[in-house]
Amino acid sequence: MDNNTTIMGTDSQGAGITLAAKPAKGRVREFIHKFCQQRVALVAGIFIILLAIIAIFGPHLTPYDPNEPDYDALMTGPSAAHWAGTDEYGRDILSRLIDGTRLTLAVSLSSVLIAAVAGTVLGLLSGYYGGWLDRLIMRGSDVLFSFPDLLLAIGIVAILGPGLSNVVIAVAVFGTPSFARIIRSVTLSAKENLFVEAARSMGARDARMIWKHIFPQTVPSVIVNVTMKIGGAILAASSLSFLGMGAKPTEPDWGAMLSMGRDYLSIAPHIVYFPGIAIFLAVLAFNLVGDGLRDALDPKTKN
Amino acid sequence: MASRLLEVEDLTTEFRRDGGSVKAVSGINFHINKGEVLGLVGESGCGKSVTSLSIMRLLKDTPGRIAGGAVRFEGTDLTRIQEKEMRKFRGNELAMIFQEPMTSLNPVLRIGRQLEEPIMLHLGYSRKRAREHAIHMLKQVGIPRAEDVVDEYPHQLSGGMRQRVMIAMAMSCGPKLLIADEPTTALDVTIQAQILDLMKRLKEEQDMGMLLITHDLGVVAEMCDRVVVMYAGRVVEEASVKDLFENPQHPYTRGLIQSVPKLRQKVRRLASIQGNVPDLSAMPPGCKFAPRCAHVMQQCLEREPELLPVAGQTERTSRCWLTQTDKAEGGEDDGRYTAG
Repeated sequence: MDNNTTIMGTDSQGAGITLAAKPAKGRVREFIHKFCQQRVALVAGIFIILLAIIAIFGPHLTPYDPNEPDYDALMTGPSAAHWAGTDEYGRDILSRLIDGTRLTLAVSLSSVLIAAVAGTVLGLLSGYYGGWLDRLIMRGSDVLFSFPDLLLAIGIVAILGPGLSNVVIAVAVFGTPSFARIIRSVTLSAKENLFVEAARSMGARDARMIWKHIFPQTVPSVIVNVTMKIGGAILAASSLSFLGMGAKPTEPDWGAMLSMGRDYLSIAPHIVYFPGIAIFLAVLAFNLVGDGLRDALDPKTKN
Repeated sequence: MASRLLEVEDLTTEFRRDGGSVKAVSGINFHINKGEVLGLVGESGCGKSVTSLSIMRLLKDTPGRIAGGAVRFEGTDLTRIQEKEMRKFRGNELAMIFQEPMTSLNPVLRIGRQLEEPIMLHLGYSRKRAREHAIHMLKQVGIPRAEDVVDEYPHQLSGGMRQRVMIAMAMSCGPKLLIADEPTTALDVTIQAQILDLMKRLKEEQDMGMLLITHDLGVVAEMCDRVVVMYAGRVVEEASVKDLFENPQHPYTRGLIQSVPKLRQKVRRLASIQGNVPDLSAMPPGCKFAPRCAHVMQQCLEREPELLPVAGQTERTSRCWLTQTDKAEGGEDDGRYTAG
C-alpha cells in the first residue's frame, strides 16, 4: 500500500508539512538521495566502508604476519614484496597498517560512542529540566571545555595510567561536553513542539516525555556529531599512542607506528609516511562524511 | 443551582521579562458548572490561552508563572498541589485539545501508541486492553477503519482526522472537563462544522464540562451555554450566550459582534474596532479598553471599572462605567458580584 497516495488524495493541508512529518520510507529514500548527490562525501563514505571491511577481515588480508620480524629486510623501502616497505625489525608495514585498522577504529569508535551516550543523556536532562541541573551540567562542560583537548586527555591518562582502555576513557571524557551542549540546544527547541505539550497535557511522566517525545528529535544531531567526532578521536588516540601513553609499541597502532618510526626519519622516512597517510585519510574521510550527513539530514537543504 | 466543576478565582499569571514582569492574566474570575460549555472569547493576546495553560499548569516551559488566585476543580485547588498530583489530573480529569492538529501528534509514534499511553497510565489497563479502548475511542470520534488507523503514523491522516484523534485522546479517560483551545481554527470550514458537532455529541454523551476558547463568535453561538469575554487579561463581560448576542453590554463585546460579517447585509466595509490591544507592560491607567472605545468618558480614563452585575439583570456582569453608572457614585465595593 502506498502511503503517499492515500494522504495526498484526502489532505489539502499536507503540502506544507516538514521533513519530520514525511513518511518514514520516503524520508530514508530522500536522505540517501541527498547524501549520494554529494560526490565527495560519497567517496569518503565508500572509503570508510572499505576501512570497516579491512577492520573486520584484517587478519585474513595481511600479506605477512604483522608481528613477524624479517631480519633480512630491515627498513627496506616500498618494493614489490613489501608494498609499504618494512620497519626497523623488518615487519611488513602494510600488514601492520591493515592489522592496526581494527585497533584504531575500535578505540575511536568506542570512545566516541561512550561520549555520545553520556553527552546525550546529560544534554537531554540539562535541556529538559533546566534550572540548577542545567547550570550544573553546563558549568561542568565549560570547565572541561576550558582545557585544551589533548592536555585534558594526557592528564586523565597520567592519572589512570597508560593503556588503550584508558585512552578510550580519556577521549570519551573530553568528547562528552560537546555532545552535551549540542543535545541540550536541540532539546530546548524540541520541547517547543506542540506534541510535547500535548503529551504533557495528557499527564505523561518526565521519563516518557524525554525518551519518546524529545530523544527521537535529537537522533539526527547525535548521528552527525558522532561521525564528525570520530576523526578527532582517531587523531587524539593516535597522538596519545605517539606520546607513548596509549598502545604498547608492539601493538600495530597507527600512532604507535609513527612514534617508533620517528627515530629513523632521516634514513627510512617511509616508516612514518604510511601510518601518517593512513591517519590523514581516515580522519579526512570521517569529517567529509560528517559534513555530508549534516547536509543530507538538514531539511533546509534542497536537492 | 448546578454544582460547580471549575472555579477560577482571582487568577493572575505573570510573565518574566527583562527583570520585570507583565501580567498576561490579571485577577480573572469565572466558573464552569457540570455539563456546561463556557466560551472564552477575545482577540489574540488577551490571555485566553494563558488562562487555559494556567488551569492545566502547563506554564513550566514558559517564563510564565501563576502569581496569585486559585483554580478549584471540584474543590481541589490545582495551583497548590504537587506536580506529581497534578499529573493525575492531566489527561484524566482534565484534558485539553489544541489549535494545531498538524503538529500536536508526535510524528514518529504510531497513532495507537500515542492513544494507549494515557489510557494505560490513568486507567491502569494492559497494553492489549488499552489498544482495544483506543480503537473504540477512534470509532467514537468517527474515524473510519479505526483498526487500521491505530497502526498508522500521523502523517497518513488529514488535519481533520488528526483533530479527531486528538479529541479521541483527550476523551479516552473520560475527563470531567475538556479545555479546547481554538480546536477548529486551523481546519477547513466544512471540517470545522463536523468537529464541532462531534464535540457537542461527545459532551452530551459524557455529561462533560467544556471550556471552549475561541475568537470565532459563530462557534460560540453554536456551542456555548455561557460566555466570558476577555480583554487585555481581564474579564470584561460575562453573560449567557443568548443575552450576549441579543444585548451585549460592554462596548468591546458590541464591537466584536458588529465586526462579524452578516449574510444578506450589503456593506462596503466590515465594522472593526479601531486600534490595537494595549501593550501589557504599558497599560492605560483607567479602563483598558478606553483608548479604543467609542463611548469613552473622562471617568474611563481615570479609574478602571469593576466587574459588576449589570443593573436589573441576574447572572450578568460587565466591566464598564456605562452599565453601572448608578453604582459608580456609590463606591467601588458595594454590590460586588459574587455569583452563587
